Formats: sequence, structure tokens, C-alpha cells
Amino acid sequence: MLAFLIRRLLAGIFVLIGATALSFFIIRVIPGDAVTTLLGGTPTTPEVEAKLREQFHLDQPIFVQYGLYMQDLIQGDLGTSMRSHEPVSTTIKDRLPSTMKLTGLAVALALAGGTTLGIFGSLLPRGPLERLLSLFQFGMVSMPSFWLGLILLTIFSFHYGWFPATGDRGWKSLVLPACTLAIPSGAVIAQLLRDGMNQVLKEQYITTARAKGLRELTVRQRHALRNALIPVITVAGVTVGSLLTGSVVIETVFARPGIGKLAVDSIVNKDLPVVQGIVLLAATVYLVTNLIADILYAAIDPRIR
Amino acid sequence: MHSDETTLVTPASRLSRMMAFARREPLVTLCLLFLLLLAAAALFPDVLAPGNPTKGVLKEARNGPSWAHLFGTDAIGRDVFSRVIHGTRISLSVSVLAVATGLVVGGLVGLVSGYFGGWVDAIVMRFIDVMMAFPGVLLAMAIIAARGRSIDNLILAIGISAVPDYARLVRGQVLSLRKLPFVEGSIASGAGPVRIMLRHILPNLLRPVIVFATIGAGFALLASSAFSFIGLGAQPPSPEWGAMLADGRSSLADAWWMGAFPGLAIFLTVIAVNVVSQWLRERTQSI
Repeated sequence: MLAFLIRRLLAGIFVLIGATALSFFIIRVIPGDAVTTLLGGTPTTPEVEAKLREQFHLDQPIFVQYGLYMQDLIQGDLGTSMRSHEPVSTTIKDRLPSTMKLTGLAVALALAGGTTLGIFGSLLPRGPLERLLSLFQFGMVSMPSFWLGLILLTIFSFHYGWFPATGDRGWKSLVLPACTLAIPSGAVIAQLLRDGMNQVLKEQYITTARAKGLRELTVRQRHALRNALIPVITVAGVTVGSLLTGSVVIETVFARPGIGKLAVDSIVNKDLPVVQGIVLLAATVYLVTNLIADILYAAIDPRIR
Repeated sequence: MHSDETTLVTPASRLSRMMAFARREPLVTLCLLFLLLLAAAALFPDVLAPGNPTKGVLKEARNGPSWAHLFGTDAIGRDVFSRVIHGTRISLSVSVLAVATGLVVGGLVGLVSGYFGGWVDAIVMRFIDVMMAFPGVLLAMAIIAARGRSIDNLILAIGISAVPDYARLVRGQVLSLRKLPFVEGSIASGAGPVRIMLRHILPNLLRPVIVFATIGAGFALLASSAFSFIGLGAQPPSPEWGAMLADGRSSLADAWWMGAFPGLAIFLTVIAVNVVSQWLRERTQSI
């Protein structure tokens, strides 16, 4: 297990360094002359331009630029926003709590709802109810999240007035966006768990367990569920890790001042250092959740190690 | 499958076979017909749309659905139904072109990597691992941030973000195909790598790749309309479905139809694509 842990950790660090390089080259190199992009057409003097070039080390070769960028990054310096002239890390930190609340609740809802619905679905006998549930799950997987958000807004905010439509004030403003974010992910988890349960229940050790005279509930809980949960862990890791990206769309729908909205605004304003910081943050979160899922997976299933 | 090839195909038997298929797979038939309808709308929007998608009649602004305007009219009196039909071409072509981009680039990478193996494969796969470190559309977001907001960049961005998936799929397939006797046989008979890849490996890749591409098409539609919705893809007044939804967002309280119908179009299209892809997947597995 220890060897496995070290191997996974090293691979994770390698990929993370690669991710910094890739995001650096996409965002800093593709736009061509970054100063022109950063200035966005505002008239300027050669002195200002030269100062900007120096500030962003654009007078250096690209690999030196990357080295300097990494040097700053290790010290926790993500650069300076082109718009607010504040450090990128401060800008992100200001917006982080709002997004953390949103994704935290969404993760809890997706995991709880997804597993409940998945287990419930696997208990249902073949019939119209089972088919209805599977149709519902299929529909939710195909649902554009922003449309789902707009529908929830129309019904629960404009029609019934139960929840505020926009902003980030108190738990009430959190319910609709969290549900919107959680529903598609929950549906994926439910579908996977149900398929897994149906698959596992066909295995011979289940027949053995039943033949031993164990109660059906015990067979399902102790023998089937544990094995059916294994693939769910991996998918849950991927889903949870991508919720931060999902918040980009949801925060736009509900006009919440979080990281996702910041990302969109920064792209529109061509504030590339902020975009780069957010991209790096999202990739790190994704890598870490996947790593945790991998380790959990290996802890549960010794065959993986 | 084999019986299909041996029976004589006459127009009448073809029709009866199609009817039998429709009875056996009603949902798949329905979805295929819907996709056919969409293809018609994408090819001939002017024939199918009753009104002008870009010019509105201000007097008729924000009218609800009626016989004159099936999906109602928007804030400046444009017919929403006509806009949805004209948007089909944009939304579908963005998805198809994005899938094609990912498929060609990823497929080529996977083909070369899987065929040559060794250090080529090792380097390529580490690079793919790094690309996989970006969840879903994050890589696409970075590309759009760097290149600017436009339809072309949207296609490129979504296509590139799918490259790792196609590369891994094709590489895996090539690895298993390479060991098969007919490939080893042609290597032994002196055929070059290009010929083997084109003549022997590529044809056998088609089936899994097609299944995967249909799944990718549904995802590409969701992603591209999401980007247009948040303002990073097609820009208004384009009738792209996601951009229309963004337009309808501000009128949600008093003109629900402005957002409801473009959203429904995306939803139904993704469902149809997903149903067909699942059917294809089951079919290829059973062969």
C-alpha cells in the first residue's frame, strides 16, 4: 500500500507540474504578443509598454519566463491582475468562500441523492416505476445545466418566490444553484450505482450468500453494495473535481460573485493572469480529488494496488 | 448481421425491414427521425422557418406562443421558432466540427502512439496525462481565454479538450489490433507502417470510434451551448441556442418562451444523440 501511495503521489506531482507548463504555454504563448493583448487597444506610451514587458518578463526567452513564473508560483505568488492591479491570489481568495459553499453543498447533495436514488433504483422490481426512474436519470444526464437552472429559477423564484433569484445572501440563495449543480452529477452516480448493483447481484458469491440463508437485506448491504460502490468512487472523484468548472456556468445563471463568475469576467476582460490562476486552481482541485478517489479505491479493493 | 448481407434487398423488403426495426426499437427510431429533422433544419433553414431570424417586428415584441408565432417572439419581436430553426445549423455544426477536430487530432496521436510504442508512446501518453489533469471544459476555457471569443475558437477549444479521450481510445484499440495475426502477417510480408495503419488498423477502428464520437457529439453540444450561454462562444444576435438562452435569461419572469424553446432544443437533441449512441454501443458489443 505504501509503495502504491508513493507511486500515485509522485505521478500526481509530475502531472501537476506538467499542468502548470501547459496552462502557461496556452495562456501566455498562444495570444502572440501578450502586451498588446493585455493593453487591449488602450493607447499607451513606449515607456508604459516597456515597463509592462519587464513586469511580465516578456523581454526574456519563453523558457526563462516559465522558470520565473514557477519561481513565483512556488512562493505562492500567482501574479498581478491586469484590471484591479491586486495580487491574483487575493482576488481569488476574495471569491473563494462563495464558490466553496456552493460546490460543498452540491457535492453533499449529489453524493447523498445519487447513492440513495441508485440503491432505491436497484431495489425496484422490473416495471413501469423502474423504467420511469431510469428515464428520469437518462434525462438529467442529457440536461444542459444552465437550462435546468433557468427552469428552477422560473418555478421556485419567480413563480413561488421561495428563493431569491440572484446573488449570494444567506443559505436561501444557495439552494437553487447547489441543486442545479448537483442534479446532473447525482444522476450519473445513481445510474452507475444501479447498473453496478444489477451487475454484482448476478455474481456467484451473491448466490452463495443467499444459499447460506442470509437475509436479502444483508446480502445487498454486506456483499453487493460494497462491490457496486467501487466504480462509483472513481466517477464520484471525477464529478466532484469538475464541480468547480461547473460553477462557471451556474454562477453566471444565478449571478453569484464566485470563482466561476470571476473566470468568465476575466476572460471577457482579457485579464489573463487571473484566468491562469483559476485554471491552475481548478486543475489542482481536480487532481487532488482524483488522487483521493484512487487511494480510496485501492484501500477498498486490494486488487488495484 | 450476416443474414442481412445474404438476403436480396428489394425496395419492398427494405421498407418492411425498416417497419420491423421501428416496431422493435420505437425510441431509437423516434430519435433517429428527430435527428433527421434537425439535419433538414440545418441544411434548409430558409425553407422550414416561417419568419426572419434576425429582423423583428417591434410591435409584436414579447408575444407568447400563438399560431402566428409557435414559440412566441423575443424582446425585439423576432420569431423564436424561426431563430431556433436557424440556430440548428450553428449549434449542430459547432458540435460536429468540434468532434471532428478532436477525432482527427486525437485519433492521429493515438494511432501513432499505439503503433510505434516505445519511447514515442511513453512521451505522448505522459503529455496526454497532463491534458487529462484539466477537468472537462477547463482546457477549452484556457484556449478561449488565449485566443478570444468566437465560433471558430469555440470549435477548436472543445475539439482540443476532447483530444485525450480519443487518443486513449484509439491507442488502446491499436495496441490490441497490432497483436492480431493479420497485422503481424502483413508486417512479415514487408508492408510499411503507413500502409498497415491505413489498410489494416484504421478500418477496424471505425466501429468503436463511431460509438465514441456520438457520445462526444452530445457532450460537445452541451459544452458549446454552455460556452455561448456564458458569453464565451457565439455572440448575440446569433441564433445559436445557448446564446438565445442567454438572451432569454433577462426576460425569464415575463417571457419564459424566449429561453424555454432554445433550451428544449438543446435538451431534446442531446437526448436523441445519447439514445442513438447507447443503441450503437449495445449493438457493437453484441457483435
